Amino acid sequence: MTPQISPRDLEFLSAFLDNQLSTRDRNRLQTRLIGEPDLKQAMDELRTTRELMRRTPQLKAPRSFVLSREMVSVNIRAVNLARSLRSLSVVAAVLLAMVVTGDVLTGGAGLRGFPGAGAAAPEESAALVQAEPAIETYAGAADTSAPTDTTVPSDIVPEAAGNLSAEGTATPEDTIGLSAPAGEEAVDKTEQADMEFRQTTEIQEEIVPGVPVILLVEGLLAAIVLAAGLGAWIVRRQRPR
Amino acid sequence: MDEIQMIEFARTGDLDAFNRLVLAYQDAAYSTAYRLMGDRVAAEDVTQDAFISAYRNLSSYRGGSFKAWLLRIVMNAGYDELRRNKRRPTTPLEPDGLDGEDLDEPAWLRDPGETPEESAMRAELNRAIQTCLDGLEVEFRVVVVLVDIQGMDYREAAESIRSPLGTVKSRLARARSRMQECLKGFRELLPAGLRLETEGIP
Repeated sequence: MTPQISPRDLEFLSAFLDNQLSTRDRNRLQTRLIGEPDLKQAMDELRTTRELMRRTPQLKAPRSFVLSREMVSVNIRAVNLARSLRSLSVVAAVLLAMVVTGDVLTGGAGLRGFPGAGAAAPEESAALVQAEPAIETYAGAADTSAPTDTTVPSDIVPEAAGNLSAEGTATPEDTIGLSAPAGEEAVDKTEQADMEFRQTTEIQEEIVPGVPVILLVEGLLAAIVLAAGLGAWIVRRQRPR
Repeated sequence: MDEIQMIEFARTGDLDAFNRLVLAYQDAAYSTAYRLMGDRVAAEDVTQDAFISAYRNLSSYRGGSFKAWLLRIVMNAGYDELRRNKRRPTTPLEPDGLDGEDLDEPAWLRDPGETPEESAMRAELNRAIQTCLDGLEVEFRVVVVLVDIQGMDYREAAESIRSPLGTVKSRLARARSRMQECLKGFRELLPAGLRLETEGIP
């Protein structure tokens, strides 16, 4: 019956058989082997197993594995193709990240050409924001005590109110010192900006009907990333013969 | 031309020089692959893949034991193949080769100088060991193949599997212990002087 020994002792015995113990560990183990028959028996059995394993014949190759020029060249071509596709995928991914980041930073300006898209270009937004102080003044100078309230009565300046509801807020500083004539001027600016916005949108729609350029670019890059990455993976999975 | 020169020539694209290395190590490579895979066809595929991979990656060989470097590639190719086949049912261990040939003792392995009894004994030992190897987890199988069958020292084995020396030591001890338990089931097939005691048998 095989004696039960600890994993640590098993490791020591195995290393002892391969002469892989330090002098100190070897001496300690040899002392224990004299006084512990179970340990000695375990070592004898392990030695027998090791000897059996070492008697296992080395197999002879059933055929020659020498490489032909064709094998190597085909394989190198495949490797090069996989590398190129992987590089293409990485470059496309980087470009895609840059385009998306740029698009986000510009407030989705790329969507301007998309029919029904509500986002305005920075230029238009700036023009509209310039008009906000005057609107605040029309709505009532007392509102300056509540700077975050941007509600504008629609019966006063309906068109500007419509723009403001989508565009943002006015600060208290903006409202100080403005008078009614300034407000009229601001409404003119608002109308002008709105007109420009509509004209720009119409131009964009004419250039790329239906789909904005930025979405096309992003879609194309994403397709390249996926296709090249998948292609590289498939080529790499091809077993060389 | 010595081994270092052959490697240098092969690095410059000299396929003939590399093929000399192939001839020198193909038995060791195939034997390792067979012990790892437990299947002749899979072992051939792994060996061929490993040599192609070795030729392609010769620039990554940084000196030291070329055999250890090559067998590491064989092991990696074997790992890949085993992962691919993970969900495939285990191949039967019974020797039923093509044309009735015994896969554990095929004609190409027989030593013409052996008596039939010696040949049969060696075949039995071979079969018993392969059966027990197949029962080990891959990480244990690899170590025992490298050290006890290929005769590598611990350092070479550690280099081959890119693991610390301590890992090789502990895995080898556990693998030997598991092999010991398994081989007891083949007691009658083993050489008389190397029969392991089993419980209940004096």
